[in-house]
Amino acid sequence: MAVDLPVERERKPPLALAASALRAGALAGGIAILLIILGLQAAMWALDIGPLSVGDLVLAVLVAWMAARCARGAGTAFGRALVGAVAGVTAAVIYAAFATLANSVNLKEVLDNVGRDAAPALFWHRSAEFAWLVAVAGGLVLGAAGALASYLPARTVRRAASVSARVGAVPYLNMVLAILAAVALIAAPPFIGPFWDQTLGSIGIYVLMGLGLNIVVGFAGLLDLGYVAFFAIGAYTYAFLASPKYGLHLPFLLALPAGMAMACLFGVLLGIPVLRMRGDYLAIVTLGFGEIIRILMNNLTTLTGGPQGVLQIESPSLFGLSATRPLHYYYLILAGCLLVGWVSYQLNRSRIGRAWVAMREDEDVAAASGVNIVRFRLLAFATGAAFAGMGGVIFASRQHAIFPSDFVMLVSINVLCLIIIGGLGSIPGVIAGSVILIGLPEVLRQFADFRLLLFGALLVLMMVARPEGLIPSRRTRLELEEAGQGFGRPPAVEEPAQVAEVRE
Amino acid sequence: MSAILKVEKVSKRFGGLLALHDVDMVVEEGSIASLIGPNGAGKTTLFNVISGFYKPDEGRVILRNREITGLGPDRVASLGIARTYQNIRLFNAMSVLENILVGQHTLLRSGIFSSIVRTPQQRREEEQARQRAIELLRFVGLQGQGDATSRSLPYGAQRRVEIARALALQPKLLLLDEPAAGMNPGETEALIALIRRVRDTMGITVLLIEHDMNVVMGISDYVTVLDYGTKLAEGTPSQVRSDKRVIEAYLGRGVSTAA
Repeated sequence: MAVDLPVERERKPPLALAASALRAGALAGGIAILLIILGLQAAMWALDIGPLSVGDLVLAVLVAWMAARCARGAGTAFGRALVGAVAGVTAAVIYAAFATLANSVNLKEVLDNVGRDAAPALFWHRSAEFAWLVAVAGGLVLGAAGALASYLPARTVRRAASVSARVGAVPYLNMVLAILAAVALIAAPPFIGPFWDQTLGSIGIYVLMGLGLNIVVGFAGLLDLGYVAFFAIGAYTYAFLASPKYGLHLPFLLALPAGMAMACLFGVLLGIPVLRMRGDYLAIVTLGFGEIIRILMNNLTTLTGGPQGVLQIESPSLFGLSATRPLHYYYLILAGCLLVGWVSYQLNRSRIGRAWVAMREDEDVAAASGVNIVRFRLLAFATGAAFAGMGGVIFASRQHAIFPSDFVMLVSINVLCLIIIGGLGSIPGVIAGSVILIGLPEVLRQFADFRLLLFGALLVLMMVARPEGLIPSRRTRLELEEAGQGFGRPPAVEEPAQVAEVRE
Repeated sequence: MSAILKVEKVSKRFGGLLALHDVDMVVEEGSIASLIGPNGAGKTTLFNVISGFYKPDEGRVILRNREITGLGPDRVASLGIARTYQNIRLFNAMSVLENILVGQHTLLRSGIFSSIVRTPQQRREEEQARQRAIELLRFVGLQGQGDATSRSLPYGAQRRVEIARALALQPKLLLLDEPAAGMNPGETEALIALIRRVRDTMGITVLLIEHDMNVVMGISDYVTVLDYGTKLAEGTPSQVRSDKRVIEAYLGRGVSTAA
């Protein structure tokens, strides 16, 4: 274990401290105004917890945090508190000034979320004098408190943050947790009601797609932006085979493999023309392919029903049991996820997974090691497409009606985002990513308008704070850990011992 | 002795640049052969032609009576030619052991189905592959380093991992592109011993590109000299060393006459 040396922070002169306090306060005030203008603040105000709303709480934390950041340069406790208080008051003044502006002039024309109707909320529905008083007093206290909190040694904070890492080191704990999670996933759904069953089902469908795209992008390193195409092909195949559209009523156990096989076929068909493409070019072509499939479904009206879609798609029935409630679909999706997750896991640790990763790391060297690039690229596309096809079949059977508008590019982007946030190449990462990107928006409906905004913010945050993803794959972890330690050429001191070893 | 590799009248053009011009070369079975020449002479280009990365514009490459001209790198690899690279190219996201397992790709048979269900045969194959990889690590002097990542190893060790990955292919012919580049004298000495053992205990023919003349003259049975894409000279190390044209190419005209 490396010993953490206490870092002596540089003491800043008073003038610089004042400047940084003003800057931090202005930043906090600016962020607060941005949140208000975007309407996020209003959405959070709607969530009450006791006398405060979540919105107020977020602002309070923001001010305290900014104050803590700028106060670290001050020497004494009094100095810190003073710097923090200046920052807090600055933020409060900016906030109150903006609130006053919104209450005196109708900003509705330019800023939709701070019109006359919304403005009084910025004053907590009281008088201007009261609001100014509360804001400034609040800023003062929060700033000072936040600044004093900066005395908490960074080590304590870091230790709290790394608890999860150490929990992972306890033997068998992972296994116990996994078993508990599995039991919960199997036993809990009958008791949590249809809303949660439906939500878990939606997450599961994205897990299916995520696991498929994880093979293409995560393992084989082929950036596919048109992945929704295979989802659409699976869904339409099932819709054609099990609806009045063509009068076909294939049983689910036949239609499912048919949908997967069709998606697989298209995976290969897309794979062939892009065999020689890498990176950005591949991404552009696959992006086009995804759109082509959707537009075909939209415009081949006689064949696909066009924008009216395919209706009255049958429920799946297995062994005489027909799926009718979200709970039934949930179990169907869970079974699919388990199957696909298991297949991914087995492939990853086999010769095939190694060939994919080798290809991703260095295609030329992989080829010179005997990996047939053509075959393994097509295999990756086909496998990934088959998983999406399975997701599509289940999706169509669950919705009972599908339309071209279900298969827009945004679906591809969502799936890509969730595997990046979860951790490229990591199977648990796909699950974590789906829960966050698909599950949270379902639960936090009041923020539906801000979904894309929060997505973007989350992605930026992840890229800065944890680029390897929430649950990085073993290989990524290895790579990053080593990069942190032994970068470049280590000292030659280690060499003689090894040379001696070889000579023996 | 018979020839394991024959390069016949090979030419390779990049736009207006004639990188290789009518190059002939023969590598005898069981020998250690070297390819030398000043920078830009076309040595690595010839390696790329042999290993299938480039298609020659003219000429043929023959591996033990079998023409391999124009075959892709994966086909050439499966026919028994393995190689290393001038600048180390290991798979950084993989452990050392996994790198060597990738090298065994062509020896393993399990396909997608047997990999998913992990048939007993697949398990046995994987276990054998793992054992072979561990043996190879021992062979190159890196026992117990299988779980390390390539980047955490010292430079000389990374070179040996690359050689182990190439040997994992069980090749007939091993191409080494500047294996001693950047090594200190101790490492170089160990490398020479390793190359000898590759030939003597594994029976693999070695063709290497090298600038370090101590290496070249110390281990080569035969040396071929390239300059400006053409073959300048060939012969035993002592013949090449005393060849006037070679000295000129390396040191410039006038030096040989002065000497």
